[in-house]
Amino acid sequence: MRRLHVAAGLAGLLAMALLLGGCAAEGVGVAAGYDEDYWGGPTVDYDMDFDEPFGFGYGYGYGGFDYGYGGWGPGYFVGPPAWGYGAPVEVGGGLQRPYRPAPPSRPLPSIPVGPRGPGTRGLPR
Amino acid sequence: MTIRTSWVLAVLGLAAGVAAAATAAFEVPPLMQPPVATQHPGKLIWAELMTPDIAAAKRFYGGLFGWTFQDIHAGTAEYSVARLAGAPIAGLVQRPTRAGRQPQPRWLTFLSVPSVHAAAKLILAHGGRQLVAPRAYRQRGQQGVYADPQGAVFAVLNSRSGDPPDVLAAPGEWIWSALLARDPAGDAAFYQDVFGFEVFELPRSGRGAHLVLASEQYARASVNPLPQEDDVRPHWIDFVRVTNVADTAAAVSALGGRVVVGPHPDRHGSRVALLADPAGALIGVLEWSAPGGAGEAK
Repeated sequence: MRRLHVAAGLAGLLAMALLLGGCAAEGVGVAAGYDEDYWGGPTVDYDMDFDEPFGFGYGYGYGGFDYGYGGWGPGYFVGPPAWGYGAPVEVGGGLQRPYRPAPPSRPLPSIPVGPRGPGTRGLPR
Repeated sequence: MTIRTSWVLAVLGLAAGVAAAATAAFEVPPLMQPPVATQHPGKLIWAELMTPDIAAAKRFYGGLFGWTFQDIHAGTAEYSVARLAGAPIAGLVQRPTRAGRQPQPRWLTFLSVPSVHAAAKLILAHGGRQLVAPRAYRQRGQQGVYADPQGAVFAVLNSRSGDPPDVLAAPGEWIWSALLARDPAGDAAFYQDVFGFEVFELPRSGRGAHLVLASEQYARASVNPLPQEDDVRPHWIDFVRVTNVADTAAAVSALGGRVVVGPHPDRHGSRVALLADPAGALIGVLEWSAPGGAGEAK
C-alpha cells in the first residue's frame, strides 16, 4: 500500500516537472529590435472580433456574391512599379499635397527582387 | 516520503495539469525560425483571414497557392496557420456570423513596426481608430488592429523573431499591397506620419492620385483612388505572387471562389487579378517578371 502512495507522489512530481519543462521549452529567440518592455504575459485567447468602422461596403452578402466592386478599367493600376523603373515621375508642380513627396531626384524604388539567401525561410526561387 | 506528502504531491500535480489545460496560452508561431535580427518597418509581414468558414478557406487557399495548414485551438479561438514550404505565411481566423450583424470576411494586412505602442500613439494622433488594443503573443510578438482616418482597416505587428527578409517573393508568398482610398493623398499623409514612408507620385488617373509608399529603398504598397465612389469603402488588398494569373483565375471557380476583376496587365507589365474566396474575402494575385529570367512568370 505504501508503494502506491509513493508512486502517486512521484507521479505528481513528474507532472509538475513536465509542466515546468514545457514552459521553458516554449521560448523562442528574440529579434534584436523587439521591445520586451510591453510584454504583458501570455494571452489565452485571440480577440479579433472587431467591426469595420464604416461598414464593409463591398456590396455583397455572404454566400450571395452580389458584387458591386466596380471595374478596374484601362489605366487603373494598383500594382508595383516595374522593375528598374528608375526615373522619377513628373506629376506637376504647384500641387498642394498633404504628404511630403520624395525629392524629385529620388528614383522610384522597386519591390525587393534580391535572391533568397541560404537560411532564409520559404521556397527557393 | 510520508503517505500524506505523497498524496499532497499527487493532488498538486493533478491540479497543476488541470489549471495548465484550462489556461493554455494561445500560441501562434513566430514569423521567423530561427529568429533574425532585422525588422523592416512598413513592410507587409503577415496577413490574417477573418472568415466564417475556415474549412472552405483552407480548401480554397490550399488548392490555389499550395498552402498547408496547422490548426490551433485554445480558449474560444479557432485558428489555422497557413504554411508554404514549412514557413508560416498567413493565419486563418474563424469568425462566426452573428444575428443582426453583416458578416465581414476579409484579409487583414499586418505592417511591421518597431514598437506597437509608439505606432498606436501616432495612429490615434493622426486621426486613426483603435479596433483591437495592443496584445502580446509569446512567440509572435505584439500586435494591434486599427483603422485609418478613411476607414481602411490594418494591423501593426512587432515581430518577436524579426521580419521576413527583403527578397523577391516566391510564388505563393505575399508580394504587394494596395490601399484603395477615397482620398489617396490624405491617406498617404497618414501612413507617412505613422510609418515614415517615402511617398512617390505616379501619373494621376481621372479618379485622383496614384502613389507608392516606400521604406528602406523598397516599394511597399500603392495608394489608389477607389474604383468607384458609391459602394466600396476604403480598404487594403494584399497580393500573392503566382506564376500565371490566368491559370490561377481559371482555378478559382472550382474551388468555390469568384473572379472579381479578371486578369489584366498592370503598371509593372505583368498581369494582376482580384479574387474572392468562398466567403467573399478579397485577395489579389500578381505575376512578377524580373530581368534575366529570375522569377520569370511562366
